[in-house]
Amino acid sequence: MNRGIRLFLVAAGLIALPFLTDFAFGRTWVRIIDFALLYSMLALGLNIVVGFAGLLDLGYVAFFAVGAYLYALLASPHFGLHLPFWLLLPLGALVAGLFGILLGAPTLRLRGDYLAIVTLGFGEIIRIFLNNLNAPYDITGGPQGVNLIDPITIGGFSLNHPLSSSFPAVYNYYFLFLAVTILVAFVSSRLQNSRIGRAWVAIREDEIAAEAMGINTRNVKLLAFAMGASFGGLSGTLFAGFEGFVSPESFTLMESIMILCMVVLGGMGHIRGVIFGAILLSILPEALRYVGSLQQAIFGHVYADPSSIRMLLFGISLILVMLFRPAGLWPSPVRRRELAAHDETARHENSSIYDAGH
Amino acid sequence: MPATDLLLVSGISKHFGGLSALTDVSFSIGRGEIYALIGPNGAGKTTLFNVITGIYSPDSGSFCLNGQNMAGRKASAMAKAGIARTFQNIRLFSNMTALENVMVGRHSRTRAGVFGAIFRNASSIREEQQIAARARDLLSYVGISRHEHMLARNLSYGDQRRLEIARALATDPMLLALDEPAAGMNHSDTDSLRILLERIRMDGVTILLIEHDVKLVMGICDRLCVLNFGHKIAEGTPEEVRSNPAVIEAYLGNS
Repeated sequence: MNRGIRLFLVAAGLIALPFLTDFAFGRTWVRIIDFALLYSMLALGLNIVVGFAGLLDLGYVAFFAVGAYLYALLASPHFGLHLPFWLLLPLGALVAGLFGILLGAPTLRLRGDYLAIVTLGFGEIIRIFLNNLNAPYDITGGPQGVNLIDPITIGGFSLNHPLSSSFPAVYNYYFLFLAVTILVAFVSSRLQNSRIGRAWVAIREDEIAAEAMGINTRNVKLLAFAMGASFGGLSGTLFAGFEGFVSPESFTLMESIMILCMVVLGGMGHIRGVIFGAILLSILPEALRYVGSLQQAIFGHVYADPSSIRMLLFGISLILVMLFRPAGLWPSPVRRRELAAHDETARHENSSIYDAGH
Repeated sequence: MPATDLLLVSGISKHFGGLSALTDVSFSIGRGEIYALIGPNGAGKTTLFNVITGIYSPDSGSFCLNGQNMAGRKASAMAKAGIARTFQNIRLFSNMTALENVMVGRHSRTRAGVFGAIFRNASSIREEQQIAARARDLLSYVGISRHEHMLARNLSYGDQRRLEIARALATDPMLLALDEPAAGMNHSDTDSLRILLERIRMDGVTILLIEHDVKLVMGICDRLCVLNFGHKIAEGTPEEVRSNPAVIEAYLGNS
């Protein structure tokens, strides 16, 4: 299919998506899709660190928290500050990026399991700080978090206001989140196919060889941490403005693991695969809520409580995917390219056998 | 004549705990030479190599490239200054294509950063084209351009060795350091490697070689240095070294 036509179809589908979802499944599902987009940004950010540079980070949600609290503290009655969204969005990315460098710097010599443990610790430190910085001076609101956060306002228009009765606020947020997700995906793909992206992959493949080829591995790793963290910060600011409320509970280790699952399940290092993984894993737990009514419909009786069986099914599906598609559901096309090259070699070999027969 | 020396190594020592891997090793490599480093297993050849390429820093002693002291610098700084290397156990970026491997070698000679990557301005596009063109040239230089899109790990052993040389050459080195490039190669591979090394030298790159294949070493190098238990025991032309009693003793034991 022509590239232009395909692009047009994808765009039309993305624009129609909230309307169709609302019509078919109800407004709650548009909200779930909004969250899926936030998770896509997070997964794309973590993909830079884990997928491109090969640095296992188990504390990634900390950067999401930094972005969210930045927006929450600077645009809410908590400090009486109400800074505008257009300033806070890039600021969230920037501050989260700085935190990425701050947390990345001490881990530069670590690899694999050790790096994972230290980043896990950092993620928890951030959460515990947020939980306890309410005394003696109340900075973060402690376990209660920050409430009444300003809704995202663009050019005087608050996204919390429905455009019309058939265009509710969740649609506004959908289109904003979609735009930022596309931006993040675009930046990711540009970075991947560049001198910097090659250096990241080289470090993932063999750090010593990368250093010996003239790559300053310290700087290039810090850059990966900073870029990944800044995407997390973007997602965090959007989250705070969307929810209107943040508390440390949203930034637990479980969230970091979930984002990592999205990256691994979708296909590490493959941008489309990672977005696919994020959407799938944010929708699947919601969809599994319907297991109860499904049982009712089939057996006329609910045998297993859906809330208890949901995580079980989720776990089983993850294990199955890892068993049968260990490279992820939608791995990068490098393998395809490689197979094509193999076919060509085979053809060469066959033709030379044929020549020898003459 | 120090003016013609490309690499001047003086008094390098390196200990690992109680083991002294190198003791007071000195030698110099002239511009355009093929210089070999030989010695029995465990003699300290690879340690010396790792010191010169910045993987280890020496405990004492110094070495100069082009009159500039380099001891203790990071490996990436060595590559930038003009020392490129290959590894004894091939260390390619195995899930990257052959072409991408060589393109990584251009890293230290190019500059595009995050801004150039995202906005693809004219200079970063031009630079990216130059990187790819140079990488293709180098692949054909070492004779594996038809495998340009194959993943490095799927190349045959000999081609992987060639790819490592191409990747090292992509850093525009003054000194190319090869750690056992002929290890595991058959006769015809070794012969074509010899031709390649001669050609690289003709093109103005000085070569430092660790090699076990004595026939290859004696046939190709201008001068060589023999290490045993971390000490330099002989240095000179192949003829001089071959008849040196200390070398014969190191290799065959005293009878």
